[in-house]
Amino acid sequence: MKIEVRKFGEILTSRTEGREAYLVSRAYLKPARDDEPIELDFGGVKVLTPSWADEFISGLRAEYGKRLVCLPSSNPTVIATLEIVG
Amino acid sequence: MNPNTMKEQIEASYAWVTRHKTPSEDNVMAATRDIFRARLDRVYKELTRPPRSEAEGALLTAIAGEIGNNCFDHNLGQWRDEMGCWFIWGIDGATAWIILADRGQGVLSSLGRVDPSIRTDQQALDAAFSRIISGRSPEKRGNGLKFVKRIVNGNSKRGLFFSSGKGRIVLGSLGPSAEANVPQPSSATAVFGTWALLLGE
Repeated sequence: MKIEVRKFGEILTSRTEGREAYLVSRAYLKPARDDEPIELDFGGVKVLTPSWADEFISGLRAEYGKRLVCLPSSNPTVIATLEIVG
Repeated sequence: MNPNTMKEQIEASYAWVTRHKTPSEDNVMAATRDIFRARLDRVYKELTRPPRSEAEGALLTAIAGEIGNNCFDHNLGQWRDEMGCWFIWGIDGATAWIILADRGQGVLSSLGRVDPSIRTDQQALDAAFSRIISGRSPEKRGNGLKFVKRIVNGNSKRGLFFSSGKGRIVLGSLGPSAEANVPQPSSATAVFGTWALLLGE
């Protein structure tokens, strides 16, 4: 299943917002199968920072491990952030 | 956008973080994270307005987001007096500039608690920009300023002057205009909290 990250906002910078996004996702994320990949789609995100991503991605990764996949993005802030956090 | 010049804002913001108490102006202060967040949206819009580069504006906004959010993340309940972040920006020709400052506990006070070997302001800044370390231990944080360093060093037209206490770090290129106006290393004045000047295209 795919998570459209832009639905949490286009400018994603703070830990508090990232944490809230993670908690909401955890509550509503219902994969159909235990081995179903969880894809993070960063299309439409304008600004991403390690602080937001650390809370969101690290939280999901702790639950879903290698099933969590960050889809490629051309946004330079997404690329730079995923190099550090991803 | 800020109508004042970069020079005027450097002087005003630096005076604010180096004196025990000076009045601030409402239009430069983001007293809460919500206000900071709303102004960060404006920064993005103004820095990416054509013909400016959307990619460059996004990267500068991301850096400002990391530094500005640190003001709140590390100083809630720790402000010396005035809470919030001095947050002002402008565009001079092709150069965008952003100033962020706070009257919080400063980097040494924050990192010195988690690593007692850090004893000076300069050691604290060096660690903050090069090691994965955070004053908010045991939370696993500390990537933000490494991200900032990587982005600033990734383009010769970006620059960052960051000061806390009597420590300072210069990354990238500040350019002649900013070089002439940033606080000089000979200054004995200590920054109460942090003060940063970010430059880019």
